[in-house]
Order: sequence, then C-alpha cells, then structure tokens
Amino acid sequence: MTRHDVIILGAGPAGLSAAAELHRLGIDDVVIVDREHTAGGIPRHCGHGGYGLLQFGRWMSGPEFAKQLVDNINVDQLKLGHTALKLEANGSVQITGPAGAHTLHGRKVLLAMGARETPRSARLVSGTRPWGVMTTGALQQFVYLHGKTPCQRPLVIGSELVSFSTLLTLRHVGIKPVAMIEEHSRISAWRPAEWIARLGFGVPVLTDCSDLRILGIDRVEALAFHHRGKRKQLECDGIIFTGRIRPESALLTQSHLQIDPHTQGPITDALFRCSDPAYFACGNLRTGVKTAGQCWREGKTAARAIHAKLKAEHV
Amino acid sequence: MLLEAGRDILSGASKGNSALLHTGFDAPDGSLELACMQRGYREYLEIHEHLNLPLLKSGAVVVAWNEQELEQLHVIISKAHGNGVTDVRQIDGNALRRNEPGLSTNALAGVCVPGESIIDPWSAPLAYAHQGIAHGGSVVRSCEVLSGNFDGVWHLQTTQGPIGCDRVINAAGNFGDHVEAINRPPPFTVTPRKGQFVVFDKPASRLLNAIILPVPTERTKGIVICRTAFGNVLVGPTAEDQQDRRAAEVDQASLKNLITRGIEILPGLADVDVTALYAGLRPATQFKDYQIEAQAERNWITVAGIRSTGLTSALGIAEHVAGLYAEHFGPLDDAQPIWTPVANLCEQAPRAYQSEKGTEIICHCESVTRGEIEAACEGPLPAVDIGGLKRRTRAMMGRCQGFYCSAQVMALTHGKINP
Repeated sequence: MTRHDVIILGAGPAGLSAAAELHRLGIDDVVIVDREHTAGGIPRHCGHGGYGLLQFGRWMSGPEFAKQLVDNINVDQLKLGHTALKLEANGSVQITGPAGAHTLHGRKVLLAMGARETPRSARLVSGTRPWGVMTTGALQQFVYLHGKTPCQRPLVIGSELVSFSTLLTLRHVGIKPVAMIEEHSRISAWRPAEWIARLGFGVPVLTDCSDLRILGIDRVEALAFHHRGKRKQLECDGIIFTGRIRPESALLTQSHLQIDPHTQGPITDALFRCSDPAYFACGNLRTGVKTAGQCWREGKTAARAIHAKLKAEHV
Repeated sequence: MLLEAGRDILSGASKGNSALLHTGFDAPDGSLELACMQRGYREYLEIHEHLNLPLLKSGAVVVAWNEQELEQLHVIISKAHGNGVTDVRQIDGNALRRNEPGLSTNALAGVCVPGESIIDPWSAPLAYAHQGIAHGGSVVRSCEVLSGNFDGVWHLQTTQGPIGCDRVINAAGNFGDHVEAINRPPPFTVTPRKGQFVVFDKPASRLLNAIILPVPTERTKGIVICRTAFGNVLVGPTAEDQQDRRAAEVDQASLKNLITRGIEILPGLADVDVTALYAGLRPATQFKDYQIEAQAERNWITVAGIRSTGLTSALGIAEHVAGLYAEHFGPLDDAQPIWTPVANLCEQAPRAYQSEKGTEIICHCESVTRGEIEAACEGPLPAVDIGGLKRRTRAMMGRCQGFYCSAQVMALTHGKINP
C-alpha cells in the first residue's frame, strides 16, 4: 500500500485545480489518478472557445484550458491510465493500471470524477438501436481526439448549453445538423441561444417534440416524433443526445459512501466532506451541471477545506 | 458450411434473449422442446468448462403474488416432477424472504427451481461456431439464400453467388418459412414475437439471488427478473406479435411498464439507473412445439419455430438433428471434440483487466481492455460490425453507452469494423 496525504480521483478541471491549490498551500504529497492517458478531463475534447477568461485572464479553447490546468501542477503527481476500482473506508482506494492492481491510501481522498450525459437507453427512447446514436461526449472525442466525423446529417436532441457545444463541434468539421429537437416548449439554455442556433448556425430549432422513435437497422436512418401534436419524420444519419448531465458516480454506488438520490452524487456537507470524513467531493461529481470554470473554482475551495482539515488533524 | 444472411452470427433472433439455461420444469410434457431443452441443459453442464463458458447456478423461484397464483403452485410442482425435474419444491413466504430479502413483501410463496441457471447468451453460440470451424466447417456471413433447386443435390442461389451442396439444414430463425419455401410450401408461418428488456446497472445485482419468475400464463412465461452473467439485472421480456422480421424496436410505454413491474417485484430497483435497452424477436410459428423434421427424399432438414428456449436447447437440437441426419443420410464421423475456449466476459471468473499485466482499459463501464478489443477482431470468426464487436467484448454496452470509449474503440478497430 502506498500512502499519500491526498489522493485525487479525476484529472479534470476540479481535480487539477485542487492539486494546484494544495501545492500553493504546501501540500505536495498528492497523487492524481485518472483512467485516461491524458490529463485535462472533458475540456480536452471541447475544441471550441469559451474557456479560461475568469480563471486565467484570457479566452481559450477547451484543449488550451486543459493544458493550462496541467501546466499549473507538478506532473509527477499524475497517475494516468489508472482506473479506480473500489473505495474503502478511511481513504483506501483500490486502483488498477499497467502494473496490475494495488491499493493507495490517502489521509484524504478528493473525488472529482466529473459527469457525463445521459445516453439514449437511460432516457428510454423508443425505436431500433442502430449505430449513429451517440452523446456529445462521444461526438467530441471522435472529432477532436481522433479527427473523425461519425455522421454527416445529424439531429441534435436537447437545447442545453452543452447542446450548443455540440453545434460548435459539428461546425468545426463543416457539418450542419438537420435540426435541433427539444421536448419542452422553449429551449433549455438562455433564450437568445435559440436565435444563435437559427441565425448563427442555420439550424432549425423544433420545440414541443415528444414520442421520439429512432428508425434504421444497422445505421440510423431517421427520427420519427410528434411536433406540436403532428407526426413528423426527419431523415438523418446520426442522432446526438446532448445534456442531462449526471455525475459519473458508478464507483460511489458500489461503495460505503452515501449518495444523494436527487443529484446522484455523493452527499456532502458545506466543506465538501462525504459521509466518510476521509472523503471529499467537488466539481460536477458533487452536483451537476457546472461549467469547467465553476468546477475549477470548486476544486480550489475543496482543496482549502482539505488543507484546513489536514492541519487540524496534525495538531 | 454455415450461411448467415446477417453481417454476423447472432445478429437475428439469437441476439436478444433472457440468457437463461432452463431445466425444462415448465415445458410442455412430451414435447420435442422439452426433450431438446433437457439434452441441451445436460450437455451444457458437461462442456461449459472446456469452452470457458460461464454458469451461474442461481436457481429460480416462481413467485405467487395473489391467491389465484398461490393455488397454481402445486400444478407447477407436479408438472416439474412429471418433467423429471424432481428437486422442484414449494417454499413459504418466510423462506422466500430469507432467500430473497430484496423481494417485495407482497410475495406470498414460491416454487424453488434449483437447476435454473444464468449463462452468457453470446459467448456460448460463438464458442460452438469456433468449434465447428476447428472441425473443418466454415461460416459465410452476409450470405442470404435467395432461391434453390434440387436435382439430387442442392443448387442454392445466394447474395454471394451460387453454392452447391448435398444437403440443406434450414435453421433460418425468423426467416425459417421463407427459406423453407425453397424446398416446399412451408407448413408453418413465422410471426415474430417481440420481447423487450430493460437492463439495470450493476448495483442492482445485490438486490436478488435467484431468477425471479412469475406464475406463467398460456401465452408467455411472463416477466422475469434476473441477474446477468455480466453483473447487471435484467427485466423482461414483453411478448408482442409483429410482422416485421428485422426491426426489433423498443417503445417507451412498454419499457416504463417493465420498470414499474420490476420495482413492484424488487423495490430496490427504484434507486438504480437503467443501463441498456434491447428487444429480441422470437421466431414463433402457429405451433407451440419446435418444427424439426427431415425430408429424406429432398436431402433437407427443417429446424424452425425455436422460440424463447433456443439458447438452452441449442446443443440438444444439434444432437437431435445429428440423429435425424444419421438416420436418413448415413453416419457422421464421431470425431474427438476439439475445444475452442472463448474469452471470459463474465464477472464470476477473472476478467482480462484483472488477470492481464500491462493492460489498458478502454471501456471503463464494462472494464474492457485493449487486448480484448483487438482479439475480437482476429481469429476464425472476427467481429466485422459494431454489434458483433459489442457482443464479443461488451465494449460500449455499459452505463455510458459509449460516451467515453466509442471514439477510441472505433479508432482501434479502424479498417476491421464497419459501422
């Protein structure tokens, strides 16, 4: 077993900013575990701008923001390509990586595993199950990490902020979606976004859509739905389900930590502590849905809470 | 030579079932179905270790939820005993709750069927196919049989050109009657019966031990709740007749009904997320029993109408068909079996990520390694499409449904997998 002052699970904006803040406060016996091979979290594959202004004083793309986060920490603390398998009482974390499984022990463990979108299955959407149905996260990884365009004529489902990130991602590879489909009577993001979609992107926005039904055997061919009570069918070769962000909490549901049934993240107190005082949580794992900048800020605050606790326990 | 119309094996009726190994306790007595199920069950137990196939001996319990169903329990028991499944017995409500603490307290009593088991629905047929290839057989995929004529031998026209053969075995599942029409006016019509399923995330597997069965009706075995070999929990199937033989759609209303029923039976399911949805098409005909027969003078054997019990009876059907073949066309070589073990995908045995050093997990929800994904694209029957890759590895089948890994999986399999 390897012992550390702090184990951080998740090398995204929250986890990385916590590590940087812990360093500033003089805590350097820190290990940051991430299952990906590159640190930075979700911004790594948000190739469009909109990051960094409040945190680093300049307009950045997601990957630039991710790189800045990594530049602010001691990279020797990163343990990438390692998957956390189990959280145990009092701060023991089982992980596995290229060298096999082993256990890390942290005086404090900061959970910062982030969030993901709710896929089609958990939304109980009707229809067949062909290839081409995906989430924004998957689309962005295709586009920004692998240089691939998995569809040419997609439909975008949802109109949250992340849905506009989807539009930006598609525009980056020269793709104009067939339409944006929203179940509610108005879009979920702030109102002017609808005009941005319509005028800026030339994408029709259909609100009041219901009874979505996916068609196509091997590859998605169309989406049938009711639009303001009328049956409608739009041909497409991709359907991108956007938003409905939820904590990536699979590790928690199988642990001793208490879960908030509403947020599906861990129950935390005002100082980011979980039901086991060895564990802290921050960022989108704790409560969705925050921007990368907000996660960055919360990571920083959580780091201060951990620092205060470690100092108090030392006395 | 095995001809498959789909892009891969298991892409039709066999891709969506409840993944159970049945004892035949509730099968119609004297039926061919019962005989094949019980032969298949025995043979699976004999060979599963040689092929590295899982067997989760969970047992099943048929639960009575009302007085009417309670009265049916003794009928189920005497039927089971009549079918030779003699360890089937009734248990009272207290014993039921002791065995299944997660079950709703509305359960009155149950019938224990200790032999019912959980298996992996895809690895088993894949292992059988690998074994067939090792013995000199071949599998041709994307090869739809269009027509044929018989002049002492068969001349089949397929989407991959003409194929000649001495004898034909029609095991075309949901297209069984179409293929049969090449030989004769089909004496049966396939009307696919759709079964929809909801898969719950892995924490749900702590909620139950045995397979929870309802008291069956004339038409269907009803909604089953069970763990899967992959550590999830399954609720389904529905039973809906339809005309379309390819598209197995899920629909939200049915899915919601399944979830509601699931929560009524196992209240703890209310706190668990849905991981996946699927639907399968059972090749039902107007006859209850399997339609298996040989037309010796036509060099043809029909294997049709295999409904929901096909996974269990597959090996028994094979034995029966081999018997028919020997009877009409002469003895088959009694070769020593070559064992072709498949990769383990199940939680009961160590997975690749737990046993391989230096491995890299690509699909984090299902803990699928780079090595497993690469291996699925190699070998005698490699995955050629996404469905086949998913069934061989479970990649992209977990709670995030490819949010994290689909782009990387597609990059890894580029040129081998055709989306």
